[in-house]
Amino acid sequence: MTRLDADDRSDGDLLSAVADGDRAALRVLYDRHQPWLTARLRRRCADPDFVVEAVQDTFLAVWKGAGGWNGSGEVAAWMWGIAIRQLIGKLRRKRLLTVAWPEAEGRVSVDLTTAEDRVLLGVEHGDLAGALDSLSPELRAVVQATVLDGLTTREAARLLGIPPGTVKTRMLRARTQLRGALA
Amino acid sequence: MTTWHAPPETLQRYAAGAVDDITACSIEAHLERCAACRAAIAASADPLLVEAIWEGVADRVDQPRTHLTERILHWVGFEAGTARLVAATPALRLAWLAAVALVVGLVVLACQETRSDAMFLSIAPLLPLAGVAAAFAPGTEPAGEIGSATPLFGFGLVLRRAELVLATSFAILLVGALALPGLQARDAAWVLPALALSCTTVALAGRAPVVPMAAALGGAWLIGLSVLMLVDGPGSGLAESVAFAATGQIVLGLAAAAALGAVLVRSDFDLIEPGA
Repeated sequence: MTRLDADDRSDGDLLSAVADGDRAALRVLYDRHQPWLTARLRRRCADPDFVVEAVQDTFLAVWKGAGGWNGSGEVAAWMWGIAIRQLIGKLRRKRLLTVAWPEAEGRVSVDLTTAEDRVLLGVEHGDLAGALDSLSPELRAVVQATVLDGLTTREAARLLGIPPGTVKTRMLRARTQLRGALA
Repeated sequence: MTTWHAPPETLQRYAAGAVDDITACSIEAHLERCAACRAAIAASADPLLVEAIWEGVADRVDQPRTHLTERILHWVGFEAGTARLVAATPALRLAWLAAVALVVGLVVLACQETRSDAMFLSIAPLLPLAGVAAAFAPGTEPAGEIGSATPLFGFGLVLRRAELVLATSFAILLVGALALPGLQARDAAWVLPALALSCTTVALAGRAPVVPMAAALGGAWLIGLSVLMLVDGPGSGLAESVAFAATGQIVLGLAAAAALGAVLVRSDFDLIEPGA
């Protein structure tokens, strides 16, 4: 990956260059961020075409709105915010709502036995991993959308294809359950 | 910042969508803050796929910016190609619109000075006429060879442009009319002569050179007004001319209707070359 190493500017510097119309800087940002953004969106939408469109629109939005970055915080987090909202916008327009989590069984082995995974979860989340695992897939999807993805209730509702009221009640139940599991 | 990194093998499985949900949560929380692990995912991405998705981004990034008129037209429902051709007319350029607005502004000022709407009523019909003439005029096909090659070439194109020119100049004139001193019903008396003059120009396009014909029509309008003033005798102002009273308006309305009818029944428009 010579291209990835070729440019040692920080993401923030690249964004400023993009704001000045530097197309090459956009390409560097794309090479750095497109793969993980695609992988992450892919876990939230079963239709690969939608994911590709959302990713493309994300970088187009970055191209046009690079000046909109406030200059602080992680560029990656900012881009993820754009990407997930692009995806939600598409899901809402096409009314093709795919709930990535509950239907994911079979594809994903829910198996926490490897040593690596234990280390990973131990370092990153501690007891939370076990507690999250005890949630039903529906509750977990809501926790993921609101806590991890940082979506509003309304956005989470669109992503998951359920009414906003349901998001709220599920979040309440998940919180109660987590509190019990972590106590 | 962080010294911990996700195991490369786990990252690979995550990128392939083959980790369980809890692991995915962990990795996603970590990826947002760790450039090294993002780079690891990027390094193992399929270069062909990366390139294919980039093509779609590049296509749109490299698209030329469209003219404002064009975007408005497109938004109103014109097809993109039509919007570009139609917008490419001198009478829709900003410079032209600004000139029309300037003339209207000056005339309205003069009317306010003299406390009379006579000047506005006599000049206003000439502005859409000039715009329509410019849309048909020789040497003004700004789209050049592309314009000549379009299937819309000929009347279809010119008529669409003329409609737009009429609409924009009428909009500007309407704003001007609202600023006239002592707003009254007579301040709308420019509409029918404006329509009559413009429609006659379009109806006769191709049978006579457009610019001299438009000039002649405009001249006839002004001479007609002067003659009417002479007939009315000294003492009565231009604004009280019969042309702006009920009788004159009915005659002008009939003329406009006849010209519009002539435009609609013409079938040979597609044979007209703009600028002929």
